[in-house]
Amino acid sequence: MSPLWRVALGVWGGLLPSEFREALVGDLSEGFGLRRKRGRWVATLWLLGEVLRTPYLRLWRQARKMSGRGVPDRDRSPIGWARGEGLWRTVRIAVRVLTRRPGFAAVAVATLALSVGAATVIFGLLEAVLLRPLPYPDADRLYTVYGTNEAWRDGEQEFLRSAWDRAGVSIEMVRSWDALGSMRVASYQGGSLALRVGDGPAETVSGARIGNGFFATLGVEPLVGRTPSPAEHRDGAPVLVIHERLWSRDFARDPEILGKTAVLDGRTYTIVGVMPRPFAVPAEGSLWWAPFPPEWAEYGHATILSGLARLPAHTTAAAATESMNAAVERLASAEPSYGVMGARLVPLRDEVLGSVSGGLRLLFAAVCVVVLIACVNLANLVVARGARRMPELALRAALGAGRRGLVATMLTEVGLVCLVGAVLGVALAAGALGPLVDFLTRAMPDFPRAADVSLNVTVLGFSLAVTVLTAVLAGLPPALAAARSAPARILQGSGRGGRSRSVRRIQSTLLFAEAGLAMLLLAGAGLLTRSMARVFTLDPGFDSRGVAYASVELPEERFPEDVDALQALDALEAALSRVPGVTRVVEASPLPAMGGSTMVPVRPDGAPDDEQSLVVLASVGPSYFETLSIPVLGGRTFEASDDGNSEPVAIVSASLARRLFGDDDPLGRFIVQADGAVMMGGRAEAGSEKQVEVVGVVEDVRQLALVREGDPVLYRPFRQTAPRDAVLALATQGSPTRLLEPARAAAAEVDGIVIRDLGAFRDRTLRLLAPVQLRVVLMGALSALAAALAMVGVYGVVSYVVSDQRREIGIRIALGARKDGETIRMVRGALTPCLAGACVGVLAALALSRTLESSIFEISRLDPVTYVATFLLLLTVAALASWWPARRATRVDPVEVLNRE
Amino acid sequence: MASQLTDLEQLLLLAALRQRDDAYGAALQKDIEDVAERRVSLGSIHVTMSRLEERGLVMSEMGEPTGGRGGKARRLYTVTSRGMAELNRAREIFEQMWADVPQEAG
Repeated sequence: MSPLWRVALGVWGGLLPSEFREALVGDLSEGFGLRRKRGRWVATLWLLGEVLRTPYLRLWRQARKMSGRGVPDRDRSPIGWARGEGLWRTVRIAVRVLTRRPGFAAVAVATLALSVGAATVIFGLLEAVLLRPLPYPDADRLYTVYGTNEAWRDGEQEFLRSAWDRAGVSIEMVRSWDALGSMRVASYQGGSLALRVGDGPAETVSGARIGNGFFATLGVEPLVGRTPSPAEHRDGAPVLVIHERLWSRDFARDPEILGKTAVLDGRTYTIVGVMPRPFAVPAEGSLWWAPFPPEWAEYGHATILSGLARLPAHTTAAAATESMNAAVERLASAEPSYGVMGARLVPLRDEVLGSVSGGLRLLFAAVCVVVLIACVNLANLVVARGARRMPELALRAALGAGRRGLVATMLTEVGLVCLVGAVLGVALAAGALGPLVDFLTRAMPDFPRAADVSLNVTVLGFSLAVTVLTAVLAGLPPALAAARSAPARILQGSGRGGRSRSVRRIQSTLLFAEAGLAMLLLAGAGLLTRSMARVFTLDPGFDSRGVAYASVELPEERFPEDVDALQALDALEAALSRVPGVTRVVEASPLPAMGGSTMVPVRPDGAPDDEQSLVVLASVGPSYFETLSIPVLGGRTFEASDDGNSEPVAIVSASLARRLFGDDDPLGRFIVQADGAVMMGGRAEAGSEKQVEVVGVVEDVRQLALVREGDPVLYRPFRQTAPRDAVLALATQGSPTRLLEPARAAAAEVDGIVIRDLGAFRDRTLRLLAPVQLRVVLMGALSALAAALAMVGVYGVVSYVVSDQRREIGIRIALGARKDGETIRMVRGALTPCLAGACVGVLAALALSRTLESSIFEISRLDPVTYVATFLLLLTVAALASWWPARRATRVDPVEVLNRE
Repeated sequence: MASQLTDLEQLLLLAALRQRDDAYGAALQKDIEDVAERRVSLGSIHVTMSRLEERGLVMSEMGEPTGGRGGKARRLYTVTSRGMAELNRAREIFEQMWADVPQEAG
């Protein structure tokens, strides 16, 4: 018998008279054990049948007869239905009592339903996404391997400094680690490439180029077929492993899939295997894996890969890192720049779930606060109710009812309310979970494991635990307090003063707690919201309004020569300009804040090699700056004549001009720019170098991401660099989204070009912020819920105080007090603890705001505006919630009140 | 005079006799379920047995706590001679009644 059953049996025993308890509980567990062999359900059903059919009343009567005592059995049994009233009857009585004051029941049930519902939903997400182990054997021994680069750490460029421990690893590094023999290490490079199946359209799909041993390191066998052989890895053979999802979607789970072909990045691959559905490395939504292409063989030292390691059992990450660092040191004899490099192991789990784990934890913490507020609310209601029922309780105490009986009477009602609330809450959660998952995956397509989210036994167990905890936390202390004081009230008759003072003291404490908790959430959500609002309205240095983009690829297979590729691009641009509503088409690679930037090393002509800086390269067409409204500070913009046949020219951003030339005029100066730079042993190494003349200076823009400021940008004419990934910016009249379909149709007519993606530019720049945006929306929802619950709490307390003090108010008004004054007195009574609570809440929020730092942009975590605004919001809400019932004080008719006395 | 025993009481007494020294709640319940195919809750068994004890038809004592029942002791019932007499009487009444039933009705 599980401990849970044991506890349940213990509780059941509590319902029985002591004369029968031992034998009956023993018989029940023995009977359960006997039937357990026939199946858990048989035994459980039998047990429930026994519990329900037990003749509690007869047992108690019999026990009384046996002991010969004449004590009435009422209240000696803890819970009503144990007194023989029957479960159904007790429920009916409790329902009747509750419905007599439907306000209490409705408010309590709603409070419970909302908080249990919210907690269930958030825990459901947390359980599926974070708590379940990754779907690989011994997944806790899997790590992602990053390179570290000490040279970047102390460098002057912010984006290198911030990435010093997230550098890539090289094929040689991985080889040296694998040669240690103590661990399995493999490498990969995740990315998106155009994939075409049969005659269908090419589509950009994420996946990974993988090194030998990738699948073996993860310990996952393919569902169908095999993984690439070592020989295929060595030769860079065009073989492809696809994901089960792709198999279902594009091949209708064709059992003859092996040997079929797909075109990846313009090259034809043979499918050799299918990976099972839960497999998601490097990311959720990775649908293909192919060996490194043969030309990568010459990049043995290029630190452009991600590493994956499986450590042996009982080896710590620190010990493994140490031996890995030693191996890199040995490599440094061949390539000295490895001397500054090392390895860093990050649990694969953190890597895979990193984008959402912080957010989910935050949401879980927030929902815990909401549950606490609900507890406080419920406790408040129970206190008020207990106080109202004091005469009844006192009477019962006087008639000999024990304290346990009084507590049980009150707890039965709280339990019933909690039960109904929890059932509603779980129903709410069940209804909300599907739409929520839809919303999450729409907002963030690579949301990990969203498909696994469900209301399973673990989640429901959590809901049950929350409910029970709420019932005990909210119900027990006030019930105990009421039971303790009830006997003493007998002597005080119907006098009110003393009692309500102590009740009000409890209520003030609860209001204080409630306001503090709500303040904490409001401040957090306020910071996130304000930060997001700033991101939406900030000036990134370019104007994305009315601009659509088309991300295209000019595959080398199809267009081996740049000239052909550019001609095809010309044709595409011409086709797109004919779409009604498109006023201008301009080529770029890439557009700002879209991701996918290339970094190149540059230095002023004549400066020594070690003065080079890594800067962001943007290849742009002639009317680029005009189309995106980027101000030109000096010189000229690019012209159509700046092509492969003319002198190489460049335009620099203001910050790049300052970095390279200080205060000197950059116009007419020359820059040495490396083409095809590769990270070799952590150092950017030039393929070939060329001198380019600076012909213009433009204002800084946020090139790498919307939330990053001042990265230096080197602009080169598109036609001089001829990148194979291009983004066309389409200046449009009216909404760019309306042009997307005609634009797609027009683009389809141009042969050989792969359209990867098409959309409104502004939406695209915000996409990188999707995880943060989700956090804002969900946190906002939870804190709104918290504020609403706090409002309900304040309302309830003030309602109670007003009705409790009718007599006092009536006398005061009879003696000449102003009615408004009475209202203000009521509001003040509620607001004082709220104010104190909110102040403490603000302090707590300030202290905890550090946890939000990674989600806050453009404002400080100590942003005073947010704290003041949310503080005032909370107080306003509290004031409204107390003013509404307090108005009733003014309607008290002194004559009526005094007549009743 | 008719027997004072209800049929449940008779069943329980018989079961207690059948179980000899091992007549306790769960065993009585199982015996009645197996032989008489009648479902009686443990609570009813104990209440009924307790009433029989009042009337001096059975005696009971607590056994030693045992494993397999959560460390709880059994209440062991023994049928007294008065209990035996009552049972016999009930049986006689039944046999008497049967004896006078015309053959063809059987």
